[in-house]
Amino acid sequence: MTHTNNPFSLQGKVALVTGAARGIGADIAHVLAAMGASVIITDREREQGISVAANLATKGFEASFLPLDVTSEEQWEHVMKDIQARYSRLDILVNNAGIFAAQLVEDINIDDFRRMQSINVEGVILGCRHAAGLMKASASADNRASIINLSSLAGLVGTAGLTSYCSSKGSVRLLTKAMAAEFGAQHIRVNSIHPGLIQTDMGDMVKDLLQAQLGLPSQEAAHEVGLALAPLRAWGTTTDVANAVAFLASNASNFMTGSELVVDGGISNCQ
Amino acid sequence: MTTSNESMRVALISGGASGIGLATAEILAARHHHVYLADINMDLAKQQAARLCDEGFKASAVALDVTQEANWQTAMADVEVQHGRLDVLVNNAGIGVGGTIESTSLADFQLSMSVNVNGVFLGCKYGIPLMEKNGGGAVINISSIFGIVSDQLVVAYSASKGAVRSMTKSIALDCAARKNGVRVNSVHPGFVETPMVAGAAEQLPEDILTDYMQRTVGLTPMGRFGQPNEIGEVIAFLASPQSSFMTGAELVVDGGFTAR
Repeated sequence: MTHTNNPFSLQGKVALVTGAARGIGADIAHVLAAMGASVIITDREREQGISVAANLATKGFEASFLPLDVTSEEQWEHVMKDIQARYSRLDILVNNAGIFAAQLVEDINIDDFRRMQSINVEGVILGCRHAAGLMKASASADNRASIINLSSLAGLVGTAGLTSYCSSKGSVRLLTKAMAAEFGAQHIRVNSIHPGLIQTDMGDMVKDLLQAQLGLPSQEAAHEVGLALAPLRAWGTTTDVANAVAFLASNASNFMTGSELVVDGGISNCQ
Repeated sequence: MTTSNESMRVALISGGASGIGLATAEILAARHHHVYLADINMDLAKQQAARLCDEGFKASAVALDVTQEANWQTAMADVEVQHGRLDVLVNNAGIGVGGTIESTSLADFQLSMSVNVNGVFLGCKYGIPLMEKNGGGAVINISSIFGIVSDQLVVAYSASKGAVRSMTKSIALDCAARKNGVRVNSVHPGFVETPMVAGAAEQLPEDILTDYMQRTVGLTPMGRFGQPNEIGEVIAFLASPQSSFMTGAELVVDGGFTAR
């Protein structure tokens, strides 16, 4: 373990990011690697995941790819065995993989609901369950390990049409706090991140929802509505979220656990 | 951190941390290959890769249990991430299970088949697609003289190595038919001084071992054990463009054992 004077540095730390083949996850992998971490990119999408890792390796960063469906215990076991063999440590776990869908309550298909719970909630539980052993062994009081769970603005406030999604992300918010209580004595910090309107494929789905609900003529019009909602008058970028993750991953946030970091341009907390 | 180097060829050697695999890795590393020492013994693989790097070569360690499909997928993803190409695959990992048909348990037989046959099958299955992406490459499967002739004491080993010999030809024909630029050949070492051979010999009672040695080294016309690098040189030849018209072939490297 290399210690540097910069508490924001991730030098010497090993990080695993789920759902890292695109969107926010890919940028989290990029920022963690750029801050000095050895990053394991995991995703169901093999080709895209390899290309993200190869892109980082070309820049001189330490990155590798492992296939992972977060709902599969067997695949989590394989991933953890591989990290043990390769690095013998794990300092950072970013549970980022998640899916999004909008459905009115009376239209909710219970199989779809369960699938979302399985990926967005069970995926986080399985990740923490399988990574905890190696993270405990890697952590100490002056170099704590860090789990970062991607919740959402929708884990803080309710939105019409997002009952399933809000339900899953609300679970992530509270399971984070429960885990923080449980793992604190073993030097593992657990925090949640709550992105608001972010420009990703998932962000486009949110625009589609706004367009339908408000009867807007185009996605561009929905984009404008999003701008008006946020006091900062902007949609967030994947890097805005990734930088917040990097802070929670670093020793700079050493005394933070069970907390929620809102990255939404002010939507949820301002009027 | 490994940086990609366009002009460098990339080779993965299963069982690359010791014996014939390590000797092959040393030879390929000295001939401008980035070598991946893929081994079930990750500590030894790391140690040997670090030594090669200290000597100025390009080498990496990869954890690989050749019987595990997921391990192969991961290893190939590593190579693709780091280099985007694979030029040489040496399916070398193997175990020597000794015994006659009476003394060999089904479990030992299955273990021998799992490592020596399934391991080569999976290596080809996941290695060849990456080779194809870059226009081709060379696969070298390590069989044995016991894939061609046999001895009463090596029923499980001989069965597995015979399978490697004929499987190699089937895969070679497939690659040739698809014109994917991949050549696939087998190498058949005789008695070589390696940890595997020493380990297998240790399991035998003294009198049987003496008898066995007389039938092996004693019957080798050159009258000595081969050295790992003597096999490695032949593997390196099959890995090189010098063997560009060879596929589905078997090269015996046995000090003349099978000639008599």
